[in-house]
Amino acid sequence: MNKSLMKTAIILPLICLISWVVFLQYQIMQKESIRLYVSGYDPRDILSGHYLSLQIEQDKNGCRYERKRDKIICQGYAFKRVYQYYLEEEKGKTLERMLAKKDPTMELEFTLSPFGLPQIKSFYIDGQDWKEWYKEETSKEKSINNPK
Amino acid sequence: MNISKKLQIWESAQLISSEQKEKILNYEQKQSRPLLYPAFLFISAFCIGIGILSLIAYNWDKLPDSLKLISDFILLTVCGLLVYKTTEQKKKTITESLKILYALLLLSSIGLIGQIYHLGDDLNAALFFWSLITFPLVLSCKKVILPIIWTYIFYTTAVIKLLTIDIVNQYFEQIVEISPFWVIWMNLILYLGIGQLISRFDISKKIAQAVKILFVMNIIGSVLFMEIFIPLDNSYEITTNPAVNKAFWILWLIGITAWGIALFLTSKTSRKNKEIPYYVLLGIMGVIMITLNLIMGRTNIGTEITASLLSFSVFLFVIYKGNQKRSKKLINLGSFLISVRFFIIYIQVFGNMMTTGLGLILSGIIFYLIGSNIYKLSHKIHSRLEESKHE
Repeated sequence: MNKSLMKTAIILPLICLISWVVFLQYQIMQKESIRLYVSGYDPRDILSGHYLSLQIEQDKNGCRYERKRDKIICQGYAFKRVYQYYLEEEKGKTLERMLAKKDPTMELEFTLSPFGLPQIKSFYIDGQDWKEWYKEETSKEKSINNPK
Repeated sequence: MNISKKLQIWESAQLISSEQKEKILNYEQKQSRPLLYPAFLFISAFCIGIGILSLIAYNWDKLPDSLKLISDFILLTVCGLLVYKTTEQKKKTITESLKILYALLLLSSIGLIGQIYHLGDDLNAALFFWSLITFPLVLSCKKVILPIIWTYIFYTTAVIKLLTIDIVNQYFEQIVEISPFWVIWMNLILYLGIGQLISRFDISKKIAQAVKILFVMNIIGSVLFMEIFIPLDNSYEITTNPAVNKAFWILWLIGITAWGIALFLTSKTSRKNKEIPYYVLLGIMGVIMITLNLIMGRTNIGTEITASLLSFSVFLFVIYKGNQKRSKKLINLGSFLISVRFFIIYIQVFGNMMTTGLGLILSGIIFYLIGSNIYKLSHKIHSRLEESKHE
């Protein structure tokens, strides 16, 4: 067995993955960011689990759709029409139900890197970080269901 | 028949002595390797790998992202080191199982990174990336399981990636409209051609073997697909538009040229590996597919007969391979499949019961004549060849 091939076979994928993480982390650390209104639902991806599928609301954000590239242009940056925000399986299901019931405003925050690839940084519901909103809403639901 | 039974027969026919029989049996027992152990080891590697993938997909919200990533990379490093260590210790079965586990862990890592950075659900892109980074690992494989998975994923995701290019997609849709069978045929030629090139340039024996296995599976899949597609889509008709008809023949001309180039490029290795029969089979399939494409929707009997010829050519090839390898099982399988297809013809009813019955009887007579004369024919050819050699 060729030893150098074996070493390459083991190390190359690790280097690729680490470089990828470093690149993504660099992008997410960019100071410039943008928050866009979105709406969505909760399907499942076989590789990465449950997510909220969030569609950028063109009119609300004052963006335009470019048919040729199938992209939405906001403030000169090109965005995909739909983004996936990954969540823990149980929370995903509850959040899906809550979102359908309450219909809150949702926003995605993107970092804007020099590479021109907007990357999701945070997800906000009714102006709050989604985790805080989720916590508040579940405790409200609990107090309604189990009044002291 | 197992070896001890065979030895028993040879002993009673006084071809070998009982002492020789015992010696052979002892030798074979020493040579035999455990078959179940590697199988269970591979299954366990698959289960653990997919289990980790599922755990990651659950998305543990309580764990910080950095911790998830660090643990993932530690797990990858440990598995990688184990692969290296067991390779050095020459523990082949364990190493190959660990390679499968390592490949699956790499896939789950891509899933984890995608999850943490919310990169979207482009499964094709993720699998394509996985196939690129695991290429050296697949090159190092000594067993064919991982190369089969890898080759299938790489080929499929690369084709899908190509089809995402607008202009390629437009042409592809037009081609499917002009001749759907051409796409199926070209896919088979591509598989065979790639396999031959890999063996010719000695890139990897295991990948070449994997491509060959996938090629055979693709032949079976294509025939099944066409046999199901034809009764479902009998409305498909070739257009009378001269421009489209011209395009149809140009497509097949390109296809036949590709077939010829593949055959020419690999003629040396194919002679050595006895691959030429595969090209002959592909040639026959191509002719049937052209005919099928031309008559489809015009006459039902013609379409059905041509479609069934496609199955028969593949099943006869199974019998041919069985005969070449002296495998009774393969010959029986081919005969069984041909019988099943004939029974399906009886159920399908070509035209009416009378034409079906006459067609079946005629086919039976043809098969009998081929079967009863095949040995005479091959004997004649052999003796002629011998005579010409002496001359």
